[in-house]
Amino acid sequence: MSIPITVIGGYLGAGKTTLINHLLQQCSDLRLGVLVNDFGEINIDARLIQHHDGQTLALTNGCVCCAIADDLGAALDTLSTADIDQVLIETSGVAHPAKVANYGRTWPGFELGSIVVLVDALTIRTRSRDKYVGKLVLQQLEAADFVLPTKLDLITEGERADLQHWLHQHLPKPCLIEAQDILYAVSDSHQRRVDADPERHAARFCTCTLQASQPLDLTALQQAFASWPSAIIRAKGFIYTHQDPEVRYLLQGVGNRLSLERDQPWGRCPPKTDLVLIWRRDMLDQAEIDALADLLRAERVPSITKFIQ
Amino acid sequence: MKLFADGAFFSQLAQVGEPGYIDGHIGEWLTTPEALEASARVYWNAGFKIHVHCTGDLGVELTLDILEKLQWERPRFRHGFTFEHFGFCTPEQVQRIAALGAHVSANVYYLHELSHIYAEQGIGFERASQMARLGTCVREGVRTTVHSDFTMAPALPLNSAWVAANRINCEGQVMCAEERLSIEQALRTITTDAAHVLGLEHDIGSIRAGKKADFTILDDSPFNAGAEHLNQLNVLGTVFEGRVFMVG
Repeated sequence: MSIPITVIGGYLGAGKTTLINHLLQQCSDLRLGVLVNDFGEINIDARLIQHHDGQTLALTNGCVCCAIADDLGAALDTLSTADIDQVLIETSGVAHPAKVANYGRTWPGFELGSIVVLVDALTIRTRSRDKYVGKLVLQQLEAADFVLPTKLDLITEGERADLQHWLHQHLPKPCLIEAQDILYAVSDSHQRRVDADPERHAARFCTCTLQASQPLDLTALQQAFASWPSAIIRAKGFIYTHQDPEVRYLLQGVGNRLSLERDQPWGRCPPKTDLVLIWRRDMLDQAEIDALADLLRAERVPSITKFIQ
Repeated sequence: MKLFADGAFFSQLAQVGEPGYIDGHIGEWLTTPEALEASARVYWNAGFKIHVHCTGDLGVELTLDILEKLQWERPRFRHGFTFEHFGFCTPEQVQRIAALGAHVSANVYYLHELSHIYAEQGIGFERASQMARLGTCVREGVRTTVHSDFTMAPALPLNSAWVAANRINCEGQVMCAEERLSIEQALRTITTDAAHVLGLEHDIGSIRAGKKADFTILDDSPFNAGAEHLNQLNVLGTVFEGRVFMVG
């Protein structure tokens, strides 16, 4: 089983280190492997530290933290032997998250879960126009599967609306999340959390399964994805298409990123589309999900929270 | 103290200003501008000589803005602040370098090795041919030296001086003749001005009573050999702290 990697990107001051510290402290039923540039930034309760040598910090809650030093690959190799469910990589403020994500795509033992880019609500718009780092912050934003605005408490309601509007201007479908969603929703490893605390998960997220026995048009499906609500944070399942009816396709939607891959021939199994969606309960109502189901000529069936393995 | 602004020259990760890279990619910062400024300030205020790796004109621009701020906050005269590698820059930036009292240490060899390919890919002829604009530096009175940063370039000072004086790339084309140095200026980049940029001008860089006897013995005078033959002069030996070491 590949360990999913969540890349935590964003410019200096966006709050990446604060987030990492928070997640390390709060994590109780998920074992995180966290890669950071600088151990000095890790600021957690000393009672949580089980063991600390030069390059690795082990916590009592099962989380592990490693310094990247000069070699991200070697740090990943160290983690691949540890007993962890999810990796978080904290990128430097000047890094392109997409480049870091490539490690996730290609390093043995790992897969890319998602790219989360933190955005400082107070400064992002000004920064995006800065003559030195403007292009960088926009590229960081464009690489995001999920956007996590920070310091929202420092701006007014009106400014929040402006920020939303601005994000929609720069991104085709900004998928906004909060810090707690990093452990819940952005990676397949969240299943352990859901299993551990299904009520809490259900309080924040809804899931359903859409099934269709009629084949779908691939292009129409991609277009549907591009326009379906950004409140749908994950989608995963097998697709029956009429462009390629003998072969099932694997769809994975992570925030605003969609991948559709040819999987295996249906063989003896009757072909049908079977798609699980997870969305923010407070951001979408049932009618919108029904509309999506209609679009795909699919039927909603009782929700199951497990993703198809 | 050496600090870093933008990315590596060989990988086209220098930060370049408008129109940017012609293939649309963007360069990289090795540090955030905020962190570069904060570090520079600490060392500036502590009296250090600061060298900053700058490969593109946007990297140079950021470094100039920082230096100007530091000069404004706490003026220093013989501060030795040096722009290292110095790939792309504008003539106006050289004027700012001069005004702020800074030096340049250029890897002029990049012109020989990379200008032809950069003219076609990523940068375009105008900026590629004008990289390492040492002629403008000397005209503006900027103390200018060249380095090899071996293995980035051969560790052959006379070869670097030859590139500076001729600006011939590996395809045999002259790239921006106006930026060529005279023989004397080219030699200064590897002798007197190199010593200045290192802060060692009292001890080395020229043959003078009171300085260390550190010099090289050539088989001909560079002025006789001519600019185009600077890289063909033979080293017969060196004198180091007064002791003679002949080749062979």
